[in-house]
Amino acid sequence: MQETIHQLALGFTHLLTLSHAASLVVGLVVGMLVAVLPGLTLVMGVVLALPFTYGMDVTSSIILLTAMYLSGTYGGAFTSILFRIPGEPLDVPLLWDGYPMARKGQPAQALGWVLLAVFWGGLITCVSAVVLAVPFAKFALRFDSPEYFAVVLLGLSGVVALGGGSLAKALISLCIGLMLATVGVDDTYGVDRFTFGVPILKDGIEYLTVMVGAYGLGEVLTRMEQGFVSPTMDSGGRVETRLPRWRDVWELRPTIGRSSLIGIICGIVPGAGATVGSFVAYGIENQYGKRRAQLGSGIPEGIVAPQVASTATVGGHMVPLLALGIPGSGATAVILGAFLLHGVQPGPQIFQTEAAMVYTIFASMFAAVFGMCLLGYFAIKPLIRVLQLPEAVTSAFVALFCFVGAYSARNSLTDLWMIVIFGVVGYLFERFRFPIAPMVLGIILGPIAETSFMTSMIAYQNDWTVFFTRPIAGTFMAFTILALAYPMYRQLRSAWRATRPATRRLQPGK
Amino acid sequence: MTSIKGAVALAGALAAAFCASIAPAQEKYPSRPVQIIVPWGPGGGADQLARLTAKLAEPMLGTSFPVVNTPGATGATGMEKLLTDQADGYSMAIYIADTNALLAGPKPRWKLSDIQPVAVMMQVPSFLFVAQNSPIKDWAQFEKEAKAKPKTLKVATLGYGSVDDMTMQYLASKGIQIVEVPYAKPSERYVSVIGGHVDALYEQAGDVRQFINNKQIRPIIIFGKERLPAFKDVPCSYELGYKIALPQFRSYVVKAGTPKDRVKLLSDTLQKVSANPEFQKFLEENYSAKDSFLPADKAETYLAAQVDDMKEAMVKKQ
Amino acid sequence: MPSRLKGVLPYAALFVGAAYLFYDAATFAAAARPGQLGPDFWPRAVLVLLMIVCGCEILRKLLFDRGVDAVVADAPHATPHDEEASAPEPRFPLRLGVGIALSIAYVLTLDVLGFFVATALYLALFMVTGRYYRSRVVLLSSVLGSLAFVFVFMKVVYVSLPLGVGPFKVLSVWLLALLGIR
Repeated sequence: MQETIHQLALGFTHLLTLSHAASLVVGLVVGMLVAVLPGLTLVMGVVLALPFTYGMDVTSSIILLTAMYLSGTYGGAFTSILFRIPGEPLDVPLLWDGYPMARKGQPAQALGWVLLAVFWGGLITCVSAVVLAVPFAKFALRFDSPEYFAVVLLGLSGVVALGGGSLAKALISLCIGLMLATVGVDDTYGVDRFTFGVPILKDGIEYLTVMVGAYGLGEVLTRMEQGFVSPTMDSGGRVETRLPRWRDVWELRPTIGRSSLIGIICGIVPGAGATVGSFVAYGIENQYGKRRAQLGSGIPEGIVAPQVASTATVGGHMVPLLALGIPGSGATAVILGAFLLHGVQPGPQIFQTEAAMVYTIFASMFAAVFGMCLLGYFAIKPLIRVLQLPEAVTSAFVALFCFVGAYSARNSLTDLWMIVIFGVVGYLFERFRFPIAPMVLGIILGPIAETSFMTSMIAYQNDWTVFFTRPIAGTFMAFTILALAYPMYRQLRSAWRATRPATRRLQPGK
Repeated sequence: MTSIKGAVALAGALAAAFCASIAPAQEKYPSRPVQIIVPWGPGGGADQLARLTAKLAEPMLGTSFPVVNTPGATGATGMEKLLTDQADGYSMAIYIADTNALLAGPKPRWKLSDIQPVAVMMQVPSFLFVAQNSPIKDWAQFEKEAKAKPKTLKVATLGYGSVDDMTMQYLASKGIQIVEVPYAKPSERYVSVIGGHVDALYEQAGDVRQFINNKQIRPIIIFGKERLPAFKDVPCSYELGYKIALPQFRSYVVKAGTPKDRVKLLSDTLQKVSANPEFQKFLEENYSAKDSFLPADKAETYLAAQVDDMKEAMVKKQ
Repeated sequence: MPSRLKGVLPYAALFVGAAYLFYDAATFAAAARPGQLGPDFWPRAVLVLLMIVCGCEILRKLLFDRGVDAVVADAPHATPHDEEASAPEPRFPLRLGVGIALSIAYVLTLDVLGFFVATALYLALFMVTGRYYRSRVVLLSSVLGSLAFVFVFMKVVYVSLPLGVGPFKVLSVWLLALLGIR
């Protein structure tokens, strides 16, 4: 332990060189920009930065990419909360509470909570990376497809409760999402499914188009129908960043604790990552949070839980990357590429052979968390100013961002049609009070769920008990069953009460 | 509303003016960016090749080669994009063995005659790897085990219908029956073998070189006609009597009907790229043959021969 | 009674749709390998779940429902409904229709007009449809906005934005040269 701290302190001193500090700052700023522009994904940004690292020394280049990665998980929060465009799938849960809070006239507070969540998630992830790196790296190796499936199922189940009042509607919406995900070429057999001979269906339905269309364009259309009058938005010149008060933060400590843990675990699991972490954290909050009834109306818990978890996955991803050379996500795969490019082999031996470098990277992660929060703090003010522009003008640009965002993912005109279709679908769902969230969840997690399920069945000769008998998978399955059974029980009880209101008095609370 | 009319009029006037001034002049090729379509996501092997090519080719032709990622449907989405663009030499696509394998499968979405190969850039043999601590020491033992207990050894591959799958099907036809476990995501595939969830991994050596160098996995067989200098002790499939070698290749293609001189210019440029020391280093890191490069005409016959080989491997299984 | 039927109708339609897709899945079920689950297993499992949920809802509506379900809170996505209730907002179905039509037209013409022209037109018309009429702002923001997009997505990060055909292509290519993209 003392050794670790000593190494880390040395790492901080190494950070003080010009090239390391410069790449930290550049990485933070570029990462933030990439995430704010919805057309650019985090992975894309890291790939684009990779060539610039050819000429740098290895430590600087890893610092640059890691800083981009960290601040990239933050930037998407701005567009999600202010314009309802999720930059990355991991930002989707932020729409459910962050956007309503901003619409209530409190965008500054909403962004303040995000800032707090990022700060905490970032710190906890750095600490976990430093402390857990060596012992827990092996943990990742115990994951195989049954475990992936169990984790994703937990992600799916937690948010089934997102239908708000109606479990049935949530399930239907989820099934629609899962079915949309199956359109196109399937991953296991490579056959066309549900394409009906229509060429544009053969490319499959990209989750990004559903996500950005249903939320971004759908919202623009909804507001257009209302004639772009949003009475709550232009509340005078009082735009200042509102950091949450210490008392309010202390209130949220169970939420923060749960989400940090979820984030770290989802980070270490290869393949799960920030998206699953953020969904699971929101779902868990929905099940066990103290104020779960108000969740979705714009309360801080709904912002803090997913953001803490998604930021907390970053350190988790770095652990298997450094200790085993296994990248758990697209962005870490690129970082691995940068290591190899400079002739450094990540693996168990790296903590001995390249200790100075490893701990400088860890130190840079700590510094990046502070830098990112500082950057965010100053970015909030100008960004909220954008909301005071005429709504018709900003909405036109939001619509354009949706189109360009969808187009740049695959450079395919098909996806533009999908954006229009799902924009209208999103509007209709909103209009008829049908939940969008489960559908988006279904299309994001559906493919992972299906392939990990199919792979498990093939690898274990159709023995479905593997999901329960393998210890890690079994644990996750138990959580899933709990998460599913509890709301069903609640639903049945309330349905029973509703049909027979006279026989029983309403009980307060839970 | 008047402002809109104004905008339209302005745009129209501008367009007309430049139409008149520029269009008649003979266009010098390339006069604008030549996009490289990568039918796979950013960060993968095909993407690395494209970005390296772009970097090296840019000073040679004085134009940029922006990389465009179009992932989806085993490369078919990207091919669709190439084929809907104009055949003017301003779009070329990376075309790899797995995409080519679609042509050997049922109902392909395009034909070999729809595309014009420009150059083959890399040819990489595939391997079977086992975990370093695996009880299986070498190929002989693997073979024995598979024959003694058919369908118990698990091999991680890319998916059904892929080149990996064809090789496994071929082995099955020779009495080596294994359970093929498809993992679409590379990271899961690698964890599966290092974590001991499967017995072997089918992969190209360049993609897993950090695990080889770290002594986490080791090769037991090369699917090719000869051994590689880097792995002198690893037998190749032909010497063991398995006549199968479906190398992973990465090539460039344009749409059929692209003017011959433009294809030639691109092909020549790519040849110069492949001779570049930086590119040679890239080949070496990927354990690719040094003389992988094939110019346009040879690339054409090469691709066709590969499709035939694959069709043959598919027929054998029945 | 009619209102009860009306409530059942969407679920019945979904049920029929799901049943049809279940049947359609047979077309690709043949790709399965012997002894393994085919590519139809997962979608069919989802469809069965969908049909069960729809069936339950239909039964529930026919047997128990008294029309309260429609107003149940829909928490994490809909706008909070107190807003809806307190301020009945003016609705502009026509403008909404124009907005959708504009978006469709944008995608249709993008390939012909090229990214710059189509985008500038779309932005300007969209603002006007959204009841914003200050012509100078509309014109400036749409033209400069599209230029900024062209610059960012052609120069800084390359996205293969359509150039258009004929004179529009010439304009696009000239614009690229002007922005120093080669």
